[in-house]
Amino acid sequence: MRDARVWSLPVQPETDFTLSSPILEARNVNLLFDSGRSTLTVLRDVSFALQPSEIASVVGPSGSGKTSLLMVLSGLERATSGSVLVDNAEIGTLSEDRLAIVRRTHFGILFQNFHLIPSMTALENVAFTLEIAHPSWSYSDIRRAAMDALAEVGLSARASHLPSALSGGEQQRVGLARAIVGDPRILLADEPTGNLDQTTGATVIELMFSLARRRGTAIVLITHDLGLAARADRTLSMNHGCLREVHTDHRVSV
Amino acid sequence: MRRSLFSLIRVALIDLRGGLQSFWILIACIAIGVATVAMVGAVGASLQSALARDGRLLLGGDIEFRLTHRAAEPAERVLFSGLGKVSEVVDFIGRAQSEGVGVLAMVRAVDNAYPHSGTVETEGEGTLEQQLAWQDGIRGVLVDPRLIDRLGTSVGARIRLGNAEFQIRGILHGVPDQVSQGVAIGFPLLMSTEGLAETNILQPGSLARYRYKIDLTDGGSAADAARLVEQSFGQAGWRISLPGDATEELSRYFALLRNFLTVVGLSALLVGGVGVAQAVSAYVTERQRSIATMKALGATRSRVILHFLTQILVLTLVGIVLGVVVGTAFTLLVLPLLGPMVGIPLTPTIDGPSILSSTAFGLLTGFLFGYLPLSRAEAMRPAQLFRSTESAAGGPGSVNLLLQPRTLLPMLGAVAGLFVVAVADTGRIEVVFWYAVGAAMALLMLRVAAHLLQGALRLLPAAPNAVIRNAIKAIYRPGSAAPAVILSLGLSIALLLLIALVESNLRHQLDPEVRVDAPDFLYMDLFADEVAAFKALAAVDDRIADFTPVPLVRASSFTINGEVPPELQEPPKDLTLYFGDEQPLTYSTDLPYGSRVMSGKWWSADYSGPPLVSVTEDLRALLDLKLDDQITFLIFGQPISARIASFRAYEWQRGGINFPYVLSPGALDEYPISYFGLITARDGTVGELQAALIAAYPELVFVPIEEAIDAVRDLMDTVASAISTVGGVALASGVLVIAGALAAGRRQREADSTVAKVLGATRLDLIASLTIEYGLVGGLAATLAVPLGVTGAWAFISLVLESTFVLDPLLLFLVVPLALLLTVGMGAALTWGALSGRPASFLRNG
Repeated sequence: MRDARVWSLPVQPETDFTLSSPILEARNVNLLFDSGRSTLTVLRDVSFALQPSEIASVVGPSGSGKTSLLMVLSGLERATSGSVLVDNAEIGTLSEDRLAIVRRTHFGILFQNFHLIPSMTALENVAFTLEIAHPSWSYSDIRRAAMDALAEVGLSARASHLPSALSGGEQQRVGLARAIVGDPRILLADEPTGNLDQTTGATVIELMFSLARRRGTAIVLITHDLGLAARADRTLSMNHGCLREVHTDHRVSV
Repeated sequence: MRRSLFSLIRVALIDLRGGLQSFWILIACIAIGVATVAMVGAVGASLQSALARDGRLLLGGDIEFRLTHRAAEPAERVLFSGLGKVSEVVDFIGRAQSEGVGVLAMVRAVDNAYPHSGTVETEGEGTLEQQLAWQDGIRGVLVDPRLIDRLGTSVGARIRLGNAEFQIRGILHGVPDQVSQGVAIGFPLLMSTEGLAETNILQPGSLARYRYKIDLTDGGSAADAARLVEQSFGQAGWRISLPGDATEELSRYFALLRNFLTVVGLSALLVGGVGVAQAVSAYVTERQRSIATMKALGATRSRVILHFLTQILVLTLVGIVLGVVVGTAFTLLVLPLLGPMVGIPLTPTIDGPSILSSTAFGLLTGFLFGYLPLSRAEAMRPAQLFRSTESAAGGPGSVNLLLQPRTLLPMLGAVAGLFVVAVADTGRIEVVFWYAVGAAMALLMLRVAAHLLQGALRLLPAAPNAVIRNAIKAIYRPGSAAPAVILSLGLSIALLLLIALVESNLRHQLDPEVRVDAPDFLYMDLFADEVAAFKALAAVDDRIADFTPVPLVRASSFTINGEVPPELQEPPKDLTLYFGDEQPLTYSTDLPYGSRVMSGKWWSADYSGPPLVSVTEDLRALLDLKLDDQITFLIFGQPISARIASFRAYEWQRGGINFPYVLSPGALDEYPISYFGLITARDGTVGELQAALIAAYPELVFVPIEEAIDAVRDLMDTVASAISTVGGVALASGVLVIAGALAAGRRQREADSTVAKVLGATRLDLIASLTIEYGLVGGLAATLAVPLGVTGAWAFISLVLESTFVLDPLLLFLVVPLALLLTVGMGAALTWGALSGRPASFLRNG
């Protein structure tokens, strides 16, 4: 278990999230995997709402459905039943291509295993988000924006390096730059420090939180680390596919 | 739009730099296929264009009038002279002799006007006229260097032809209209027409071709000249050739060969296509997390597929460029060597259409075979990609995916494109259609068989032996290379078998073992008194086992039920070697040796009624003949009608002479008959008898059958070598693909082997397991490949070449062990690292 003191972050002003409409919402979501012989229930009647700029953490044991929740929220996985709303719009009925557009306009995703494209340099990995989202932009504009994002995570000097030449922490910072370069309204982070040592993880988390606060980006943070989870505006717990609130400080219904 | 496209291409190329090493098999497969098709196309086009372009040169004039067995009458000569400048050429088979040695010669006697165009290539002093002229009490000849070798003589020495002696004045390398002579029996020898007259070889009725090549006066039309001769001497049996006609037969052979080689080249591309599919499949598997990442970043399906399709097409283009460069370079090297072999000047040129069609073949193949594995990955949901441990490209539901319009339509478009390009390239829609059907069936059969094998093994109860159990499991476990190996090995072996069987069939036609009863010598123009003399000789000379005279009359043309059959543009194949477009007729009391009546009845031995005729089955099919049809032959300008009494089948390899038309006894009594004399020597006396016959009948020309067959065998050897070469290239593609299929599963196998070793398995266990696994896979592939290859070879030999298909059991016997050796050997070679290395090293390096 990590020491919670490592994750000391600047104190954030409390925000009343009940006053605005959620940027991301799950309503009675169920996710079942049918293997033919048996059916596995991964998410059970999950309801959840995330306000703009809110940081929510989800904790729970392995196999409890945390990553699946993140997949469903981002449209990477379709819920078996229930609905997911992004900016008050139902996304469950959208085509794959429409879902892709929702992701590029609303989401940034940070993975535990970084998932940088190994054939691309750090700069190209970050630029790739913009190449997809804004194919009509000139390359110089894309490059400039990508360089700015890399600068924000302190990796300007490593822009031309391939992922294989970067340390784990650096790779995750590139992942963070890639996630925020499109200025998303929601950042989904799937155990972003899971593959990093404590110090490096702390740096990345601090960076992520500060960038999110500065940009007003909402975050859903999946983590095993209760200390880290406690830094969020509120913490949710996932167990056997059920989501429930751990903290009650913030007035969010679960 | 343009910026988006550039963005797409730029990112795709950037992303490609990490994966190039995965694609060397894709590039090599495309390059080999494209090079083969480009080379075959370019060589074929060069041959065809030379035939078309140099038609006048190859004919030796603007028009040629030809007669067999007599020279032009004075009135005919006057008419020819009125048309333009005339050159008389006489072709016949003669025997050159020197100090008791006799060698068969393809003699061409020419006048001073020869040749109208081009040059006779010789080594020697003076002009052609001077070299052949009377000098120092003797006329000159020019001879092929091989003739000098065979005779054991030299330039300047004397040789005898018939009754006359000649001096060898120089070496003959070629005549410009050599191609129009047809297949040469014997070595070329050039003499003057004055010299020919002195040999006394040719008598009226002798088998010689008298050609009158005319350089028309300015403004003269070849068509008008042909019409004039037909009107004036229509009954005389003149054959008229225009530029192009002379090479029509050759052109047809080349086209046939080219079509076959193109099909082999396409097969190389087909096998290569399997390699493309494997490479793309492996690449997509390797990149599935990147694909997922792209989708997570908001890339749409079309963006993902365009990204990877751009990469595949770029790599395909690299393969195409390599293939075109290699194919073109090889073509430029081959053409100057091939020209002298076929007697046509071939200039090394780059053939644009061949490059275009091979490029189109390469692109369409790359797209067709790369698209399905790409579509599989593209169709998977990103969350599945994050989880999936098996190949995204080979995942479940592929049939459903294939049937989806967005997958099926582009692939059908590529198939249609390939079909159109193949038809445009070969000009044979039926060949392309049946090839496409065969190829599709082969692919489907192998794919389904692999699936069934996996299903059947899955249902089997667990084997008691762990090694066998593991080997069987390795075949059906997710991500197994077995389906890919069965597909690629099956196609490769089928292709190997097809090529080997076609080649063995071509050679079999001329195999001496087959012609056990064939005579040793053939006298071509014997008259009744000479036949009597031979009979007397045969009676007393122990070396002659048999002498058979076969009566012969030549018909210049014929009609069926009063009409000229349009199919006569295709001369009957059997004896074109000897007769060209003449129809040889014989009569016989008995059914000829080697023949059997397929329908109708053979006439009784004492038949003396109206003329009857027995016709070969080949001609029945070719000319759509029926029993009781009336055939009217034109012999020496006189019509003779005969009713078809029977159809015969004949195996020409078994010896004797097959006459397409055999008439009833008495039918030809009114006509001057010459004879073929067939002599069979007793065992071990062929050489001795040959020398004795030359000495006894120096003025008579005979053909040693083996030498005649040798001439055709040389031609067949060239064809068979071309097939072997192209086939070898196609097979190289197959081996690459198998290597690719095995290499794709290498990582997994290494990991499995390492874990097995960690758990205590010995190297022997692993090798035994691998041998059983690949043995099963290779055995199934080979078993399926046999019917595929045999069917393909049968179709080509029987349907395209219209020849009898002979199955060589040795080839079939060799296929299965070869396949097993190939798979087990390559499998072992590719996993040798895991088998021989220490587990710790692999575990450390991951």
